[in-house]
Amino acid sequence: MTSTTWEEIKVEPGKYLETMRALHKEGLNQLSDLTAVDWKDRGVIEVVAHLVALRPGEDPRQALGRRVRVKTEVERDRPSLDSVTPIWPGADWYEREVWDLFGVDFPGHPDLRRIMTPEGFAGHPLRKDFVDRRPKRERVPHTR
Amino acid sequence: MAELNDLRLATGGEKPELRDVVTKDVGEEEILVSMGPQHPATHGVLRVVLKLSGETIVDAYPDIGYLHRGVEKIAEGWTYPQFVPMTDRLDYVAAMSNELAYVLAVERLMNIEVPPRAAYIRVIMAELQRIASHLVWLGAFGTDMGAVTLFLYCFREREKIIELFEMASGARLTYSYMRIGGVRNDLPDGFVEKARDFVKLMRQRLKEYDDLFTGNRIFEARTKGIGPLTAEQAIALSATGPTLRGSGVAYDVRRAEPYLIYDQLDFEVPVGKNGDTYDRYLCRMKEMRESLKIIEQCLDALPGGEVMAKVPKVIKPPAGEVYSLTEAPRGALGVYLVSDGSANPYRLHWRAPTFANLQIVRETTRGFKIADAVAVIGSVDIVLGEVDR
Repeated sequence: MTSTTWEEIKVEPGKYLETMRALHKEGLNQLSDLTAVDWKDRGVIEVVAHLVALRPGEDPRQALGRRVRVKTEVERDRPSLDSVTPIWPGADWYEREVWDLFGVDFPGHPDLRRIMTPEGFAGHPLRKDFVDRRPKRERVPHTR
Repeated sequence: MAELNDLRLATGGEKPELRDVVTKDVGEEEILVSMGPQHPATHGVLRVVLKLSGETIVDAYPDIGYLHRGVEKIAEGWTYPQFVPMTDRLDYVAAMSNELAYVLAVERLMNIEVPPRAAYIRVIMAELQRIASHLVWLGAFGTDMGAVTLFLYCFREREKIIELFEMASGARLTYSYMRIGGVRNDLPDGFVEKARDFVKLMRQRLKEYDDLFTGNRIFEARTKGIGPLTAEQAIALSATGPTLRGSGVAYDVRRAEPYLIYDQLDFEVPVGKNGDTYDRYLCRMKEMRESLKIIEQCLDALPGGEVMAKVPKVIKPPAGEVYSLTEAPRGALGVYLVSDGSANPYRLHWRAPTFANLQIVRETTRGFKIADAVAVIGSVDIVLGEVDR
């Protein structure tokens, strides 16, 4: 089993974009993943981005360099975070998904609109206080 | 009941819908055609709105979400072991790879090491699954372009793999075979022999597919130079797997961050040069050969022993998080798991490789014909189950 430790950087929303630009300049050329976690009890939504440095070439052992996880916390009330699509175009759909499912706005995104939920759907389902409207059924506890 | 759930925020006002975006700048000689969501060549419920000038694509807007089942939300209400069968249903063409990605993430969070026999069995299953998945891709790819014979051949071979999976796990497509700590049961008698026979057969058959397809002039005309993607573009668009390797970047998680016993195995990672559809095709063909090598090495070195580690009855990982990557047939499959110390995940995010890979469709089809869009979408190897979750 190999170590999966990623360098972790926590940053304020105000410094997010410049930090991301700096990291990109340092060689982190691929956004592996961008998602969010709803910490309802603390009143924040944490946006988590995973960045990797990839090198073109034929040697698979040389392809991956640095790995960094960047975390930012935005207020749950009106969450808004600069879009990193100008830096990594691949962030496009990831940010759309975070908008759709968590309600985080990304000013600077070229085309921010829903991606998973159907047209006309209201609400941000992955939030902890999203009301689940599916009919409830008796759940048997997982016991032995 | 909409008002109950209207948590939509006032930031920036209502966001546009797809129709607002695509109908905005349609030129006089342009038309909008909706390809999908029901379409034989979009491999699942994918919709691509094409803005066409004659037969040339001016722009392409992939529209996803038709298979969104809220899997990540469901995970928050289930226990960790309960989620294993759900992973089968995400990328339903490569279920073993999904299960492996998930159980590895939980094991990393809990610092559980699986017994060696389980590790070898997992690698055998993962590589058999890679071949089965590539066979589905190959068959569908050929069919999209009119070469229907290939579909028949691929599924004939894939049936042998499915039979092996059925022997071991009882199911043909959704196995629930991998568990947190190992695998559910040991390999049955006869599995190893049958697997060896399959490897011999598959080598022969791969040669047949090559004779039929690679080098075929019509096939080359439809794939060479189509949908080119440079290495920089592919990296910037978060592409991974053969979609990225076809463009000349040898990023394969099995070599970059080896897991299980991949660091002890001898195999190559095929890399393309031009990033066109043909190179992505070649990458997958070569990957099937390399997977056969891996399976053989594992069958030869298969140790005895337990197939399940000692794990607590109730799986409660310590509070913390992990981002665990594995190389699924479609690319780097990541599981971002946040635990709050309870028996249910606080947040489970599935980094599906195809979700990011699908973004290249817009970039690579501009200027090409509709038929080329079909080839490009086929070469990305999409499975909507993992895109939409």
